[in-house]
Parts: sequence; structure tokens; C-alpha cells
Amino acid sequence: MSLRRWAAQAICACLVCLPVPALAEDEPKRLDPVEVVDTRERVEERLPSLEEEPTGFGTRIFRREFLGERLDAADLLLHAPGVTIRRLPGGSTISLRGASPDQTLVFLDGVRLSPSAGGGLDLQRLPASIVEEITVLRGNEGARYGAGALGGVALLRTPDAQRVLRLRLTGGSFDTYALDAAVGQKGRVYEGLVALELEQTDGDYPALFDATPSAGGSTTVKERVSNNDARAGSVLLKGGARWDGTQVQALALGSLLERGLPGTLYLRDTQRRAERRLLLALGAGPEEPQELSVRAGVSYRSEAHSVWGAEIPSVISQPVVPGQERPWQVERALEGNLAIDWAPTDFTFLSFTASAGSESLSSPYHGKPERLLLSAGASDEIYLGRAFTLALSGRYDRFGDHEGFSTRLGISYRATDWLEFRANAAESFRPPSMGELYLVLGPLQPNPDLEPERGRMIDAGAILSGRRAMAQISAFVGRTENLISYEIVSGGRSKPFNFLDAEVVGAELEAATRPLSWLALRGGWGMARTRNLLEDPRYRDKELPYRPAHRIFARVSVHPRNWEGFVEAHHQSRQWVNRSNTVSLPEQTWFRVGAGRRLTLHPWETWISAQADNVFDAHLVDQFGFPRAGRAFFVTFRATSNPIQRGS
Amino acid sequence: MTRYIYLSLFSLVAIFTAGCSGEESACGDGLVECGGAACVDVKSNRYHCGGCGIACAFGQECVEGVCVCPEGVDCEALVPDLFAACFQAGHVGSYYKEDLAWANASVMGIEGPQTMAALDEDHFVVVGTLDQVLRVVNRRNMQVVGQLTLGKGTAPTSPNHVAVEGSRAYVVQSLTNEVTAVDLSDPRKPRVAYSVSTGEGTNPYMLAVDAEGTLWVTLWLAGAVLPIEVGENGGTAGEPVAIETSELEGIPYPAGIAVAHGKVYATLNNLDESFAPAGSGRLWVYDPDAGDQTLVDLGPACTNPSAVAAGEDGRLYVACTGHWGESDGALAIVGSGEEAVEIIEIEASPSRMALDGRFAYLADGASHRLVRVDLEREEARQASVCAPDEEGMEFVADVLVYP
Repeated sequence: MSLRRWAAQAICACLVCLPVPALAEDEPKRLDPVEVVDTRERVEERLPSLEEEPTGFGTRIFRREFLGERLDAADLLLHAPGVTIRRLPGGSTISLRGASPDQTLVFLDGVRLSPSAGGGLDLQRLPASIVEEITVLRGNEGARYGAGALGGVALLRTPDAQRVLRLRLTGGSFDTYALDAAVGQKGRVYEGLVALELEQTDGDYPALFDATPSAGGSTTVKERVSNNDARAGSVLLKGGARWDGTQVQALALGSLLERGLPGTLYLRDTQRRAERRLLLALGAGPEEPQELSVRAGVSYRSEAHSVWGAEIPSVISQPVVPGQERPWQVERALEGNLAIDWAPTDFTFLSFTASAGSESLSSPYHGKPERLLLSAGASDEIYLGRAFTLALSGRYDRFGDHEGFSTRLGISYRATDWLEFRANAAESFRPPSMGELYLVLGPLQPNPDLEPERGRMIDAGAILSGRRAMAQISAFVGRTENLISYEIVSGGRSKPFNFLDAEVVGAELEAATRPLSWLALRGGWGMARTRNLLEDPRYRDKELPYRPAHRIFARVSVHPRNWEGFVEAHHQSRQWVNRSNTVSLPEQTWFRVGAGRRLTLHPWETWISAQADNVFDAHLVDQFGFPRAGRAFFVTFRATSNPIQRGS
Repeated sequence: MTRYIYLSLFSLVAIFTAGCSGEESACGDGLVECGGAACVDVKSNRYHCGGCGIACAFGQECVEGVCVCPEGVDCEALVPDLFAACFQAGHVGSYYKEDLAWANASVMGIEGPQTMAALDEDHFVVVGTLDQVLRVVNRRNMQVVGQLTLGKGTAPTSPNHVAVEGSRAYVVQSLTNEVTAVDLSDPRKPRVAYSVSTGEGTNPYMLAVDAEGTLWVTLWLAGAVLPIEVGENGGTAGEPVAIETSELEGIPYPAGIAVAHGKVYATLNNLDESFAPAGSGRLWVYDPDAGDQTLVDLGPACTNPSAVAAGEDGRLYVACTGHWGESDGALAIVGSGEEAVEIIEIEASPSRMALDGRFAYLADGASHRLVRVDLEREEARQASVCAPDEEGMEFVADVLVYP
């Protein structure tokens, strides 16, 4: 929406809504000047491409586009091509470009969340309602975001401290209730924001169950998946202050979660999982970009989780620790960082980063391993004329005994105002996680002799961007060596090994348009065809397990005056569950729809919205092939303070 | 829509690869292209003798398209009678039980070969737990003659044990709690006859067939043993027999099972909650007629027992796996009166076993070795039957011996 049009609407709103003062005909009065501040919700006007990413490929997802919808972080991330979500009973993880969840890093406001114990970040642990924006960068990003980002990164950003007063309530299927609220204020010197998210769900759902799937004509019966309840709460505190051109920002995020682990209908789990997270970050830097900017910060992350309550210990049970009803496993990371941005001329922009810290894993299953974290990196963006940009990055990372370099070279060529070509080549590594190195978890054994995985990737593509439409197409080839994989080493025992090399070839296509002010269309296709390079003829050239080759999504959303609505379609192709590619999980297609209406505008803007997930009740399965929840309905009420403000 | 996109992409690929179709076979006169392999002379190739896929037996040669045993050679004696499943390498190696020598042939290409059973004099069955494929192998030439993917290839089922009775193979599928009957009346075309559920959360482990044809299945997580009456077109699970656990230090986890003397015998792992031995292993003895059950303490030298087999001498032989990573296994021998226990200590981790006269063959579940125990001399001899790998991942999942 243009500024002029916005101002006109604001004036209209003023004329319509202001109470008309009763004036005496013979006593004309001057009205006080009125300043109208329009804080109505507005659909995000930006298209999902990345203006600040010089040569790479990625997608931005704005939470405010989905305000009337109940979505977790995994659901949000599915709006970026190249993303696949692995869903497990009681959790989900993200993968990019055919990489493993361990090879995709997740950051929240710049603090790395990906667990040092390994296994990929559980997306259900993220406070999605208080996330403002997610940036997904596809490709090997180790040179800029640190070792481990072989497939890419997901950057979550919480809202800036601003003047806001917002409340949202959701209720629906599976006895799900959620509340999130935010209050913020921004002054000349100080700013602050408090956001709260609470959610509880009974979670149990009916599912079709085949007790004898091997039989030819077996029949299914309706069963109920139980022990799927969850209660979670998060509080975000953000504050900042400005003095003499310097800005100091602080962030604290605390969250608690307790949930049941449902297991499968073949083996119902009775275990429960609890989590506690504390994230603290403090940073200081110039308020506005300077020719030479120095920023410094420190962050602390503590994440604890406990699993308990197995009625019968099995291979999926967390081992019992005598004397501890809830054996806590705690990860802690403390890191200090320094960044210097320097633009010595108008054709180059240099950045230097350095960080030092440590991470530890306090676990009853293997003492308290701790390792040193060190990194140092440099990058340069060189602008050759107005058309070419060259981006060079290099970074050294050390994780305990494992160290390595990551490099990246990117180039972009802006052929016209609306067409840009980009290409990148990058190399990086992933150190073994502390879980892979040290943790003994029942049948899972550690392997302290593991070596880092190494990955290389090149990609190229084009970006078309206009005022009302954008499209992005990219293709990539990657190779990973020394992939770490848990292998069965005897009946029931598994251990990680640097086991295989693999290749991935793929492409992404993304398009978005806003042909009318009230209409938005968005869609994407991601393809990642993996190829096992192990010499073994059983596996040679076969696809890696749990890597669906294709994923497609499309979304149409409308925002006519006082109304909102959307229709969404998702499709994921078949994926293999074993290396010899004889057993697979089926392709899956599902739809979401929703609609909402504005109820009031002033002094509170309020909306009521309803949505239906998996509208056609498609049989969706998780990573083990077991049924996920079917069709679900949710209703969301939201209110944002939108007063008409008077003043001089 | 999705299909349309796929079709479009495939069309593009088809256009670019159009030149490849319809090409003539490049084989010359008298040669035949067999299954994508190099051109072969079916008159003399012993793996394609007289036609593609017709392999000659051990010792035989292919002469004018016919497999013949050369004069002066005892081809029958060259047929291997001992087989070992190498889990990581994914092959079943063939050996001679007399001297544990390799017969120079293997069935390759299995993902996680876990369990084997003899079908008849000429064929045996091997099941991969990771590829979920049941293969019928002709042991005279070590060629796969038929195969079947379990679970319809659409869901992981974790097949763990197979037993054969007549022309039926019964496969225990641990993840989906099934015992699946596979019809092998035509070994080239195995087909699922039916599947019987052992019940939610039971995690069936192994099975044995009694003289009446009843299947007895150990339910690892349920701590019980389940009888299943099987018929031609279906089976019926009976009431599971709960194992009395008051004497146990740990969780029973019934694993191996055998039927002899009208009784059912099951080994109890007796593990703690970290899957380490909680005490000595037990042999559960159940009399189906009387409904009585007793426990035989296998002693402190036999922990974490796995397979059990009934010997011709009326005694029961138990493979004791021991502690993980410590190679402190043993072979426990229980007298027919279930009163005395002999122990033969073995520096390995035996899990599955096969008996043949005075010898017991034990698969080392933690290394690439096979252990042959001379029961008369109480001596153990180890032989490397799987190629050891650099990482130390390899282990012998199962062993099969022909009398």
C-alpha cells in the first residue's frame, strides 16, 4: 500500500469514526489538531524474496501473513521451497536441500538453537506465535553461519520492540487452546516488548489402524492415538536503549514444555517429555550503520529435557536413572562475539566476525562432556559497477577437537531492474554432535572416533522481481563426504559411523504475486534427488532414506475489506525408508482452508477466523509410517489495540 | 496438478533421451544378454546354462547348455551345508561344516540379512530385516529363485525371525506385531497367505512350531508367549501365557524359543532398564497340557540368553550372549530333566544358533566370527565367516546348518 493511499484511508477512518462535536451555530470553534496513527493490521506488503541477501537463494516468511491461523514452526517453514519436515511422534525437524536435520542450523535472533546433542532441532519447541519472521537460506551456509549448515539455515526473528498491544486466542480440535499476547512500547531512548505464549492440547486423535499390514486383504479399524497431550509456555522479554548513537539490546526468552510421547499404534508409548529453555542475549552497536561499525555481544543458552515414564522399557525408551524420577539432560552454551563492518570505499563492504565460548552437555548417560567453541570469519561484498556483486566469505570453526574451514564464493549479475542472476560455490563441514560422540542412550552407543562430515555445493539461478510479483528459480549440485549414520552393530544396538558419501541434485522454483491489493498468490516447488555414492551395489546410486525428492505447495490468500481467507495445498512425494530402496512411505497431499472477518476497528481491531487443516482428511503418516492427525478445525480471535490518538 | 508437472518433466526427459529407445541388443551370434549383464554364451556359462538365470550346481560344468558333473568329481559333496548371514555386508556366505571352509559362493545384495531357515533339501529362506525381503535361495548354486517384499513395501515392519514348516514360512515381524504366513509351495513365487496379529505392544521376537503345528511366539515386550493355531487360509492367536517373573532380578524379555518333549522352552534375557543383564539368564519351561510353568536358572556364566534349540540327545542348548562389548558369552546345556546346567564358555557374543549332531554352530552377534562347539569334547573353534570391516560394524546375524 502506498503512503498516499494509506494516509487517505487514515483520513477516511478519521472522518467516519470520530464523534462529531456538538457545535453551537453562533459559536464556531476551532478543533484541536488531530494526529491519526493508524495501527490497523496490514497484510505484509513485501514479497518473500531477500533484498539483503546478495548472492544466495532463500525465502522470507512473515508471521503476520498468518495471523488468523494456528500454525506451529514446522507449518510455517513449509511455505519455503526446499524445506522438508520430518515428523515423528511428538516432534518434527527441518531439512533443506536433501540434507539431514543435523545439517540444517536454526537460529533465534542470532543465537544458534540447533542442539549440541544432535538429531536436529525439534521445531515443536519453538515459540512460533511470538516469532515475527523466518528467513530460510538454502545452500551451504557454513562460511557465514558456522559449521553444520551444509543444507542451509533457518533464521527466526522475534518482533522488534515497538508500540503494540495484542492478544490472540485460539481453540479447536483435540481440545487445543492457545493464547499469545504482546505488549510493547518504544520511546526515544528506551524500548521494550513483552510477549507471552501459552498452549495446551489434549492431542489425542482417531486414526485408521491396520493390525496386519503384511496381509493381502487386511482391514483397517479406527483406533485412538493417545498420550499426545502437551502444555507449553514461553515468555519473551526484549529491551533496548540508545545513547549517543549507540544502541544496546537485550533479549531473554524462557520456555517450558511438557508433553506425552504417543508412540505408535503398534507400540503405544507411555513416556512423557519435559523441556526447559532459557536464552539470554545482550548486544551493543551503532544505532545507524557507519563506515566502520563495531558490534559486540554475548549469548547464553540453556536447554534441558527429560523423558520418563516408560511402563515397559523398550528400544524407544529413555534409560532409567536410579534415584532420578526425571533424569535431566542439560545443554549449555555461552558465547561472546564481535563483529566489525567496514565500508572503506563505496564498492566494497567488509565484515569480520569472531566468537569464543563453550558448550557442554550434562547428562546422566555420559558424564559432562564439554567443548571449546571458536570461530573467526571474514567476508567481503564487492560491487562491480551497478550490475555485478561478488561475495566472498571464509570462516574457521573449532568445536572441541574438530576444526575446519568453510569458504563461499557468490556472484550476482543484475541484468535489468527486474532480473538478476546469481551463483554460489561453497564448502563447509559438520562436526560430530556431542550426542554422537559421547551419549549412551539405551541401545544407542556413542563413537568418540567420529570425524566431521564435509559438504560442497554449487548453485545458480535467477530472480525476477517486480513491484507486484517475484519469481526465483535455482538449481544446485551438492556432495557430502563422511556422512555420519547410526548403523546396527549387533541385535538391537546401533552406533554412529562415518559411513558414506552422497550426492544431491535439485532445483527450487518459487513465485509470489499480489495482482490486486486484496489478493496474494504464492507457490513453490523443491526437488532434491539424493544419490548414494557408497560402492556397495546394494546402495550405489540409490536415494538416501527419508529424503522425499519433491515437495510442492501453493497458497491463495485474499484480504478484501473486513475479510480474510486462504486456501493452501501441499504435496510431498514418496520417500524411501531404507538404503536399498525397497520400502517407502507413500506420497502425501493435503489442503488447508480458512476465513475470517473483522469485527471492530477502534479502539481495538478485532478479528474472528476459522481454519480447517487437512480438509479432505487425507491419510498422512509420520516418519515411521504411522498415522498423523486427520482433519482439524480451529477458531482464532485476535485483538490489537488501535486507538485514535489525539495530540498536537 | 502435481501429476501434470511430473508428466511434463518426464516428457522433457523423454525428449532428450529419445535416441536411447529401441536399440538392438549388441550381443553377437550365439550370445544372449541376460538381465542386463554382459553377453553370455548359454551353452557354456555355468551361471546361465541353457538359458538366462539357470545356474549349475557346485562342481558342475555347463556343456552344450546342460549342467553336468565332471567325471571323477563328487558334486553332491561340494554342495555347501553351512550358511552364515553377514548383516552389514548384506550377504549369506556358504561353507562346509566339516572344516568351516568357504564354498566360494554367496548370496549378495541383502540389506540386513537377519534370519534363515531351511525350506527343503535344495532351498533355504533368508529374510532381510532392513529391506524386508524374503528370498528363497537354491543352496546348490546359491542363486535366489524367488523373493517377496514384506509389509507390501509401504511400511517398516522389522522382520526378525523366520521358521519353516512344510511349504510355509512363518515370519515374525517385530515392529508391526505380526506373524506372517508365506506360501512357498512354488519357491519361485512366494506369496503372503495371511498374517496374524500378536497384539498391540507385544513386539514378537522368535517362534517355534510344535508337533501339532501350533506356533509358539515369544512376545519380547509383553513378557509372554503366544500360541497361534495356523490353518491353510488363516490363523488364530490364542491367549498369551504370561511369564511368572517373581524370581527375576530384571525384566524377562523372552527371546529364543523351542518346543521339545511336549513342552515349550523360552529364554529370558532378564535385563535391567538399561538393557544390561540384571542377573543370570533363565530358561522358561511351560507344559501346555498342564498349564504349569517353571524357571531354570542358567547360572551367572549365562547372561542375556538368546536362541535355544533342542538337541537330538534330549538336552536343550542355549546361546548366552553376555554383556554388550565384553565377549563373555557361553553355551548353556540343560539336561532333559531341566535340572542340571553345563556351561561352555565362549569368547564371543553368541546370539542365534543351529545344532547338528555333536556340533553347535553359534553366530557371534557382535563380530564377524562363527563359533563351532564340539559338544562331546566341549571345545569351541572360531572362524571368520564375514569379512571384517574397518569400522568394526560387521556381525553374524544368523547361522543355518543342513544335517
